[in-house]
Amino acid sequence: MKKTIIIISAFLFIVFTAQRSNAQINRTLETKVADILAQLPTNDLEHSDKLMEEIISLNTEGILQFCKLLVPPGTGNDTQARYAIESLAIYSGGKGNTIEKNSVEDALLKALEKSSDQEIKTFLIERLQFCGTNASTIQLSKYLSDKELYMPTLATLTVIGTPEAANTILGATKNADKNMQPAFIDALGVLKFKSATKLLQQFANQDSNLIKRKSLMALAEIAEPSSNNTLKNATINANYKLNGTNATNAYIHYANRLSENGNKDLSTTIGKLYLKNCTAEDQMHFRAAAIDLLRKNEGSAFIKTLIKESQNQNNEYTAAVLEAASQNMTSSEVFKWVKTYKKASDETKAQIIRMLSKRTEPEVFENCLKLAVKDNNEMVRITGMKALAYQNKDKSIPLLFEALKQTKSPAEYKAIEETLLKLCNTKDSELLYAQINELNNDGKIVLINLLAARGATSQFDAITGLINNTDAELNDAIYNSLKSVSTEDDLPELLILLNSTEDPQNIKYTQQAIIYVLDNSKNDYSKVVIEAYDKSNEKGKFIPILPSLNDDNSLTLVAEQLSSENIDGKITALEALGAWKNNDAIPYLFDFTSTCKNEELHSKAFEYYLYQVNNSTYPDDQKLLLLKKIMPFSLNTNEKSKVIQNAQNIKTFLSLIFVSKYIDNKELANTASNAAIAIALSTPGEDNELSGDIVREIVTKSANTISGPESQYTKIDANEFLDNMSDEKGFLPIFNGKDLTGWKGLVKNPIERSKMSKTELAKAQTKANEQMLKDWFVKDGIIGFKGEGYNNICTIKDYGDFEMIVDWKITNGGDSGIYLRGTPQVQIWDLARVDVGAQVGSGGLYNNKTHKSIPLKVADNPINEWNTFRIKMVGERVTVYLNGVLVTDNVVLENYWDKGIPIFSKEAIELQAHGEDLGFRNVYVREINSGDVLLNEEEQKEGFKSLFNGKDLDHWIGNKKDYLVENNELVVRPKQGGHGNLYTSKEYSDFVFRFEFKLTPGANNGLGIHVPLEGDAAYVGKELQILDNTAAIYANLEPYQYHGSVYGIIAAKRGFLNPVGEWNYEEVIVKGDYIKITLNGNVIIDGNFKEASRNGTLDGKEHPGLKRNKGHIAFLGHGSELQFRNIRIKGLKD
Amino acid sequence: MKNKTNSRRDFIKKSITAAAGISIIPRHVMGGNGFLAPSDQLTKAVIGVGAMGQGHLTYEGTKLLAICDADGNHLANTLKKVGKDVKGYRDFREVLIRPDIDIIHIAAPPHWHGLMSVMAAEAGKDVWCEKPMTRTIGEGKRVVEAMKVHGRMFRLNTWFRFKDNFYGMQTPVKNIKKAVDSGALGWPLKVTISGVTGFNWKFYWVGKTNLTPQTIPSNLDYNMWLGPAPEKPYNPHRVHQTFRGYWDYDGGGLGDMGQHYIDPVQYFLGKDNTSPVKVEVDSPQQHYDAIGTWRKITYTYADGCQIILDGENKDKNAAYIEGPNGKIFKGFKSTIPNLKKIIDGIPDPKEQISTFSESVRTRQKFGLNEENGHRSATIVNMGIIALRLGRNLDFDPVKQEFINDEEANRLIDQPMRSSWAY
Repeated sequence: MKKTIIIISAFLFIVFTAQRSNAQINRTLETKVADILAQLPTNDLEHSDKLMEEIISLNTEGILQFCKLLVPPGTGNDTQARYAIESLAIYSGGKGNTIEKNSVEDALLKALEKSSDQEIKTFLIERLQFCGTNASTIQLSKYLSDKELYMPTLATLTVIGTPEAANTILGATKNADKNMQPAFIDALGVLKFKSATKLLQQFANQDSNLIKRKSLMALAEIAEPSSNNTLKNATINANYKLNGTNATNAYIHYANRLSENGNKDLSTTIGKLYLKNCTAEDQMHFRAAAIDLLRKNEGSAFIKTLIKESQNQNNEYTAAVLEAASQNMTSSEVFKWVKTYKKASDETKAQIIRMLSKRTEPEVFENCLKLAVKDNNEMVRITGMKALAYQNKDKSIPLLFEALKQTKSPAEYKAIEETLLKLCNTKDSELLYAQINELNNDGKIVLINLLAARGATSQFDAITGLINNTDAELNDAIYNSLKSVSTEDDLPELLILLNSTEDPQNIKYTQQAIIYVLDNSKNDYSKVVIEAYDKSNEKGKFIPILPSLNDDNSLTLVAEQLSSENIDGKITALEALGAWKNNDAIPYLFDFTSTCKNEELHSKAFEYYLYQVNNSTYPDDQKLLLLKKIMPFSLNTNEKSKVIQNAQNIKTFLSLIFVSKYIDNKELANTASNAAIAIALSTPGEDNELSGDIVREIVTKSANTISGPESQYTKIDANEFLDNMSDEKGFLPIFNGKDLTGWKGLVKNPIERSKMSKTELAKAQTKANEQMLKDWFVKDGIIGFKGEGYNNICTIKDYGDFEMIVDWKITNGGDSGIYLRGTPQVQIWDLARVDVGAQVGSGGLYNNKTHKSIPLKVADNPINEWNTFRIKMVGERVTVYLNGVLVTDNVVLENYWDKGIPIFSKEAIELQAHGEDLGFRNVYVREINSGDVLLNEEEQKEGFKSLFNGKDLDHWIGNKKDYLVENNELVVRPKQGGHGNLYTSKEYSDFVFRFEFKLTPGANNGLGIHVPLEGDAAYVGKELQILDNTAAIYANLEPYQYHGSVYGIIAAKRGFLNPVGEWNYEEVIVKGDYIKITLNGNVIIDGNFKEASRNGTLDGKEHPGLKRNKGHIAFLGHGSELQFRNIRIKGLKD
Repeated sequence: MKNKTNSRRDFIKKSITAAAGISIIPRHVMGGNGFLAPSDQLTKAVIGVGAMGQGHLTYEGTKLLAICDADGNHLANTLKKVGKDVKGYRDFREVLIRPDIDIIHIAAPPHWHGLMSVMAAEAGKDVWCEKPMTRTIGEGKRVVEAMKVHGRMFRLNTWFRFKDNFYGMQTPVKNIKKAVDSGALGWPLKVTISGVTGFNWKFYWVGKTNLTPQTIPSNLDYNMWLGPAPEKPYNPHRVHQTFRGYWDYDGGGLGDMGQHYIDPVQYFLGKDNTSPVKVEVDSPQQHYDAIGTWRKITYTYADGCQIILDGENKDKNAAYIEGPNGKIFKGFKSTIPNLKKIIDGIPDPKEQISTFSESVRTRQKFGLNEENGHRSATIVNMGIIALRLGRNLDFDPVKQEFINDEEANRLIDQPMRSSWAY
C-alpha cells in the first residue's frame, strides 16, 4: 500500500515538476521560494500539500532558503516562512506506521546548526517533533546542556522515543545542571527507559526533594523489580502519606505498572503493604488504590477482603471498594454480595444496591431489592426503588406498586414515579390504571402523573371519572393531566367540564386541554365551541379558547369582552388577543394600549402587542412601522427597551436607524447598542449583514457603548464585522431632518431646463427656491407641505442607478408621488379616491402608458399612518416595495416628458406636492455603481479603447477560472496555486497600455507583452514585473526582479509603489524596442530592449522573446491574489 | 432526627477543640455511618479565578475555602469579593495539601486540566473541571486512571446532557435522546452542528501570528501560568481572555464550544464508551502556534453514524439529526409526524446524577464524569490533531490510537515543556 502511494506520488511529482520546469525552469531559486511563500497560508490543504511537494523538490538548498527567512520575534515578519516550515515538517513526517529519515529533517538540522537565535532554534527543534527520527538524536544531544534549549530538545527526543533517543537523554542526565535535572528525569520516566534505573535509584537517595520526587515517579514508570527497595523505603519514610517526595503515590503507581508488566507477585505484595499501613483518614485514598490494584491482581480470590473492607466506616472508601468489586464481577461474587447485603450498614446497603442494580441474577431481585424497598431506612428504600429501573419490568412494577401502597414519604413518591417513568411506555397505561383503586390519594396522584406523562389518551374517561373527590391535590393532578390525555373525541366532555369547574387553576388546566385539542385537530369545531359559549353563564371561561378558533366571529366576541367594565374580563380578553393566531388582533391591541390609563393593563396589552407584531406574517418594513407606532405610547424605560429588543429581530437599515436613536439615552444605551449590532451583523448561516458608512458609524458607536458579561464577545464580533466591511458608502441620508439642505425648488422639467440658458436657469432657480421655502417646511424630522400649488422640490444632486428608502404619510384625499430621475412617478394616493382609480393602491408607475402602471397589490396603510417605500432603479427599470410588499416588479419607467426617448440616465429625485397635507421622513439613497468605467473624454478623443467593462471578460482569453470579475474589478484568485495567464484576445505590437492594480502583501504577477499563448512569458515574450517587492520574502531580489522591471533584462527604479492595499496607476508605452513605464506619475523605466541586452541579459539567460515585436498582452499569474481595473489600450500601429 | 443533628453538632465542637488550627472539619473526618446532613457543607477551592473561575466561586452546595491564581491581580480582585474565610494562593500545590478541602475546581486554562486533575486525585480530592477536559488524548487517559485508582469523583463543567435547553434545539437533550431511542429516525444517524442547526461556532478565538515579545507584567507569574506548556516569549494576547487562540493552551473555537456541543451527541447516540473511527478536515493551512479557522470537520463512527461540524454554515438545509427515516431540525422541528407523542410514549432515559454534591456525598459517578467526558474531549482533540496535521485520520477507539499514522500518534501525548518539572 505504502509503496503504491510512493510510486503514485513520485509519478505525480515528475509530471508536476515537468510541467513546472517547462514554465519556470529558468527562474532563480529565490524567485521560486518567493513565489511559493506568496501563496501561504493556503486556503485549502490540497494546495498546501502541492506546495510542500514543490518545496521538497527544491532539495536541502531550497528548504534552507525558507529557514533563512526566519527572524527573531519582534524583528520582522517571517509568518509565511513559519507556515512553510511547519507544513513541511508535517508533510515530510508523512502518514505511515513509522516516520523515516527525510530531506526536511536533514535541512532542519542544518538550519539549526547555522542559526544563532535561541527562539529560532527552539522553533526548529520543535518542528522535528513531526519529522524527527534517530538521525536527529546526535545533533540534538548538543542542546541538552543549553539552559534555554534543553526543554524543547527533551520534548523532541521524547517524542522521537527510540532507544537511541532515550540513551541520548540518559547520557546527558548525570552531569546535567541541578536545576535542569528534574526535566531529564521526567523524560526518562515517560520513555520507561530501563537502562536509567540504576542512575535514578541513586538520584532517589539524594537530598533534594524535587530530584527525589521526580526519580521515584520515573522509577515507578520504568517499573524494574530492582527499584522496589528504593520506592518502599521512601514510602516508609513518608509514613504512607502524602509528602514532598510524593513517594506514596509513586510506590502504588509502581505497583500498578508492575501488574501491567505481569509481575503480579511483587505488585500484590505492595498492595498488601498499603492495606496494612494505610488506615488513617488521610490515607484512605491510598488504601482505595491498593484495593483497586489487588482486585486487578487477584480477581475473585480477593472477594473476601472486599467484603470485609466494605464494612469500613468511611463511605468514600467503601464506595471505592465496591467500585473495585464491580469490575469483572462473577455471578458467584454477586451471590456473596447479596449475602453481605443483609448484614451491611445502611450506607453500604445503598452502595451494594447500586453496584448490583444492573445485574440480572435472580438473587439480586429476590434477596436484595425486594428487601431494600421495605427496609427500615428511607435512603435504602429509595435506592432500592431507583435500582428497579434496571431490573425486569414485569417484576419491578408490582414491587413498586406495593411500595406505593405502603409509603407516606414525598421523597419515596417521587422515586417511585421517576422509576416507573423509566420503565413504562404508553402501552402500559391499562396496567397502571388497573391499580388505581388500590391506592390512597397520594398514590393515585403518582399514577395520574404517570398516565399524563405517557399521554394515555385511552384512560381519559377513567381519569375524569375520579373528579369530584374531596382531595384538592388529587383533583389538581387530574385536571393537570387533561391536556396530555385528551383527544378531539373528548371535546364535548371538556366543554362541560369547563363550564362546571370553579377552581381557577383547574379552569386553566381545562382551557389548556381544549386549546391543545383544537390546535392539533384538522376539523373545525367552531360551532360546538360557540354553542357552549352561548349557553354558558360564565362566558369569560370560554374567551381563552377562542384564539384556537381563529375566526372573525370569535374575534368580535373577544373585542366585546375587552370593552367590558370588569378588569378580570379585560385581562382575559387581552390574553386571548395576545394568543391570537393571525395578524387581526393587532389593531385591537394597539387601540387598547394607546388609550389605556391603567398601568397594569397597559403593560399587559403592550407586551401582547409586541408579541403579536413580532409573530405576525407582515414583512419586516411593516413590522418596523408597527413598532415605531407603539413607541410613543410606552410608559416607562422597560417598555421602551422591549420595543427596541423586538426591533432587533428586524434586520433592515431603517430598523438600525430606529434603534440607533436610543444609544445616547443612558437607560437604553446598552439595549440599543446590542440591538444595533445584532441588526447590522449577519445571523449565523445567512448573508444578511448590512453595510455602508452609516452602518459603520452606528456599529462603531454601539461597540464602544455595550457593557456586561457577554460584551467582550460581542465587541470582537463587531470589530471583525467592521474590519471586513466593504468600503462602499451604502445608504446615505438625503434629508438631514432639520432643514432642506440638499434640496431645491423645482424648475420646469429636465427637457425644458436643458433648453434654458445658464442665466435664465439661475434666475428661475432662485425664484423656485424662494417658493420652496414658502410651501415646504421641516418639523420633528419630517418634510411637510403646507402650500397650495404644485411646486415640487428636488435633490440638488443628480442620481443614476440607485436604491431609495422613504417613509411617507398622507391625509384624507392625499395625492403625491416620488419622481425618479426628474420624471413622474411612483404614485402615492388615498385609496378612497376611487374617482381617479386610487383603489389600486400606491407604488405604481402612474404615468406609464405602455408598461405596467398599476401596483401588483394594495399594501397601503390607512390614511394618517406612515408607509415605507423601498425603490430601486437600475437602468430604465424600477422596483418598488410598499411596506415590504412588492408592488412594482422591475418595470420600465417611461419618459413622461418625451415619450419618444428613453428615461434620462441621471437626474434629480423629486418629492411631489399636490395641494394636500403630506409628510416624508427617513429619506435615504444608496447609489449603485454600475461598474461600467468609461474612458474619460480625453482618452476617448485620443482613441483609447476600454479592455474591461467591469462586468465580463469579453476581450480576454485564457484562465478565466482564477481571473474573476468581482465588484466591477478584475480579481485574481488562484485556487490551487495556479500559474495561469489571462491574455488579450487580440495581439498588439506598439501601444499605450494603461491600467490600475492593487496588491496584496507579497503579491506577484506580471504583465506580459508580445507574448504567445504558450511557454514562460518572461522568456518567450517579455514580462514586466508586477510585484509587492516591499514584502520581507523578497528581501533578496535581483535588481531586474523588482516591480516594473522587464524581467531579466531591464531593472526598474524602485520606491514608487503605493502602500499595499492602495490602487496604483501604471502606463506602459511600447514602440519597437523602446519601452517607457510610468508608475503613479513616476517614470520607472525609459529604455530599449535591444540596447539593454546587447552585452547579454542581466540574468544571463536566453530571452528568445526579445526577437518578437508582436503578441498578446497578458496578466501572468504566479499564484497570488490581486486586483485590476480601468484597463485601456491605444494601438500605435494597428 | 433532631437529636441526631444535635449530637452531630456536639461532635463537631469537640473535634474543633481537638484539632486546633484547622477551623473547618473536612467531611471525611466525619466518617461515622457516612450519614451526611444537608447542613454539612462540602468545601472547595477554585484554581484560576480570571474569567471562568469567577462562575465557580458561587456554585451551590459547597463552601469556598481557597482560591488560587498565577496572576496577583486576579487573586487580589477576587479576594475582595469573597468572604474573609477564603485564603488566596499563587501555587495550587499548597491548596492540594490542605486537608480540609474536599473538592478542587479547576478553571485554569486547558493545558493545566490534565496535570491538575491527576495531582488532585493523588491528593485524595474530588475534581470539578472546566471544559475542554484535557488538551491531549493522553492526558485524558491519565485522568481516567487516576480517578479510578484513588476512587475520586469527577465532573466536567458542561451540563447539556442532563440539564437546560440545548442551544438552538430549544429543548432538553433528554427529549432528543428519547427521539433517537424511539427508533423513529432509523439508523445510522448524521448530526450536523452549525449555525443552521442552532449551534454557532465562534471563530474569534483565533490567535495572532508574529507576536512581538513584551515584558511580563509584575503581577503575573508567567512561568506558573505556562506550567506544562512550552515556553514562548510573553505577549498579553497569549494569556487570559485570548489564550484560546493558541495550540499550546487550547483549541480555538473547537476547544471553546466543542465539548458543549459534542458531548450530548455522544450521549444520545449511545457512544459514551467509544469514539469515531475517522476524522476528516476541510480547512485553511494552519499556523504552528496561532489557531486559525476551519470549514468543516467530519467524524464517522464504526456503525456509520456521523457528526459534522460545519464551521461555515454551508449546508443551509441541514437537519440537526438526519436518519434514513426522518430528520430533526433546529428548534426540534421534525419531519416525523407526532414526534412529541412518540417521545411521550416511551420510557425515560436512565438516571444521571446531576448535582455534584450528591455525587460527592453518595459516591455515585456524576452524569458527566471522567470517562464519558474523556470520550467527548477525545473528539475535540481528534479534530485538533487532524487540523494541525492537515489531513484525515483513522482512529482505533479501543486502543485510543490513530491507525497507521505515527505523526498523529505523536500528538496523542504531545510533549509540552518536557514536563512541568518544578
